[in-house]
Formats: sequence, C-alpha cells, structure tokens
Amino acid sequence: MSVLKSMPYHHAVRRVSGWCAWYTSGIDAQVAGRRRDEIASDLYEHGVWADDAGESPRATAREILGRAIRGVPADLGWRHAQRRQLALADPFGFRMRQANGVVATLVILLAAVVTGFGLYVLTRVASSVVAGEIRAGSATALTLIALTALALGGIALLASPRTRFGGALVMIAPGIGLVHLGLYQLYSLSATVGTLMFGMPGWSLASRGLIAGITVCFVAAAIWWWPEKRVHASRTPALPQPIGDSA
Amino acid sequence: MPRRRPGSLFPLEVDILDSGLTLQASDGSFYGFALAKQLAERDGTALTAHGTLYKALSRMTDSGLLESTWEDAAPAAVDGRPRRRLYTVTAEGSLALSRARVAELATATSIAAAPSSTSVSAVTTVSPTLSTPPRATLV
Repeated sequence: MSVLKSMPYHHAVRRVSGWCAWYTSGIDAQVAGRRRDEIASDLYEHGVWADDAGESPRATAREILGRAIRGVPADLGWRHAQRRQLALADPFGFRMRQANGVVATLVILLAAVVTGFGLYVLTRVASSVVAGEIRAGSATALTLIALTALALGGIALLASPRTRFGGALVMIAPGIGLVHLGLYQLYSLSATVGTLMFGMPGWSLASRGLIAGITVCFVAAAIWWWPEKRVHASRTPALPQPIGDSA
Repeated sequence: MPRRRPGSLFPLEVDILDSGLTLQASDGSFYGFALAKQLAERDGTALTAHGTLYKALSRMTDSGLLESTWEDAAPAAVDGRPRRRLYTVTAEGSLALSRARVAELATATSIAAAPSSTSVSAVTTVSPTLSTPPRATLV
C-alpha cells in the first residue's frame, strides 16, 4: 500500500502539523507561514521517499513522529526567540496580546464554571423528575434549560477572538440567571444547599455578591473586547518590518 | 545547543554546508528533506529532526551563509505536491566551510604533534575523521 495514501502516515502528518500550528502561533505571520509551508513540504517529500524506498506506512509514521519529537527542544527554542524578537519590536503590543490571552483564559474558565453549574442543576432536576420527586416541565427548569443553552452559545462565541465581545455580553444573562435560579432549584433538591440557606449566616449576601461578581466580570470582559472603530488605512501608523525567522 | 562563538560554525552547520554544496553541484539548489536525506546517507544516521534542521537553515539564511527562494507554484502544481523552499550555499557559506575545514585540520594536526600519551590516544580517535571532510567548530 502506498505510504502517501495510508492512515498511519496521515495520522502522523496531522499530529506534526498540529504541533507546528501550535508553536508557530502568536509569532510574526510571515515567518510562521514560511515554517508551516516548509514542514508541509518536508512531510510530503518524506512520504514520497518512503514509498520509493519500499518502507511500510507504520515505519514511516514512526520515523516522522520521531523526527518531530527529537526536534521539540529546537522548535521551542525557535518559538521563544521569535516571541522575544516580537516583544522587542513592539513591547506594548506584545504585552497587550499577553494580557488579552490571560483575560480570555479567565473569562472562558468562568463561563465554563457557570455553564457547568447549569448542567449540574439540570442533571439534578432530571434525576428528581425520573424519581418522581418533582413534576416535569416547571417554569424554573425550562428557564434553566434556556439559560444553559445560552451559556453554551456564549462559550462558543468566546472561543473565537472575533466574537469574544458578543460572547461576554451573552454570558451576562446566564451568569445572573443560572446562579440565582440554580441555587433556588437546588434548595428543593439538595439537602446541603437547603442547610446552607438556613444555617449559613450571610448566605443571601454571599449569593448576591457572587452573582454581582460574575456580572461585573462579564461586563468588564465585554468592555475590554469592545470592537474598535475602523481606522482608515492611510492613518494607520507604519508597523515594524517583519523580523527574520532565525533563532 | 551550546552558544555560538563569533565567527564559528556549529557541527551541524558544517554538515549542512558540505552536503548542500554536494546537492547544489548536481541539482543547482537543495531543499530541506533532500538535505536531511543526504546527511543521513552520508553519516549513516537517522534523518535530522524537523526542528533542528529548519532552525539551523533559517539561522544560516539570516547570517548569509545560505540563500533561499520559494519554488515556482507551477512545477509543484504539476507534480501535485507542496512548494519547496530552495536553498543555495552563498560564497560566504563556501568560505566559512573552507575556514572550518582548515581550523579542524589544524586542531587535528596539533593534537597529533603533541608528545604526551593523552595526545596519542586522541590521535587514534581523531584520525579516522580525516579521511572524510574535516569538521570544525571554529572558523
């Protein structure tokens, strides 16, 4: 069987390309594109050579993965050097990108926690309905379903830098509703939450503070990612020249 | 990888220049995988790792030892393969290789000329490499 058409070869190529896409992310686009194209060419030529040499697809895949793994320290060194050069060329822009990455990670994490809480409450509701403890299709449960679906949509929007602004805005409603209604629903389903509601001093203040904190986080994220007005090309300041792709 | 001293070449860079000149003599230029294959066949070792090879090639291109151009899209499209990045060894690269060889030879000769017993054992180790193009880390 031809190596180029075999599954092991394609799996190896996909893994190496994925690794290459990761270590070339966040650096100069031209330099990154050149490296990716060069690796793509190398992987293809390796397959052709293996076919001519009569190598088995599995052996070729192992060899390709071996070359990629042995090159990881060099790849990381190259990436580090590229990012350092980028930081030197545009220190403010580099710090802004770094801060943006941290903000994105924290907001997505918070959105995931809120969504996870919604899913957890829905699971408890479903199990209670199955057990016959509560009736199905209550207004609270339906609202929780809608808010959880909205939160999932919000996470999808947060995943892409272009739609992050919208994602943060969308997450405000689930941030308030899921926590408020989720705790309300758990009051009747969970002995722990019921005990906390009656036994913990300042429970009401704590839950309201939590809702306010989550809301502030999503509003602040939406402001952070507020779309900038388009600037006319002639008014845009000249960007620094692309740096070489050496390390 | 150790830090480079000014004007010196890493052993891999010497190998790349040497194999690159061989490929260049027959094909006019060379590309990454052809070079990896040539290095493996010459030394009887595994193919050079992607990261190691392309990092060295880009570093050498930036320092003027190699020149690179992207192959025209047409021949690659006809063959149904990705475009190759074609390299050639520059005059500066050839000169750097010659200097590296001279420095290697000088190092090997000085070891051979030393009278101590340590040097005798060193000569035994070094001398087989003299039949192949000598390598040096200092130009």
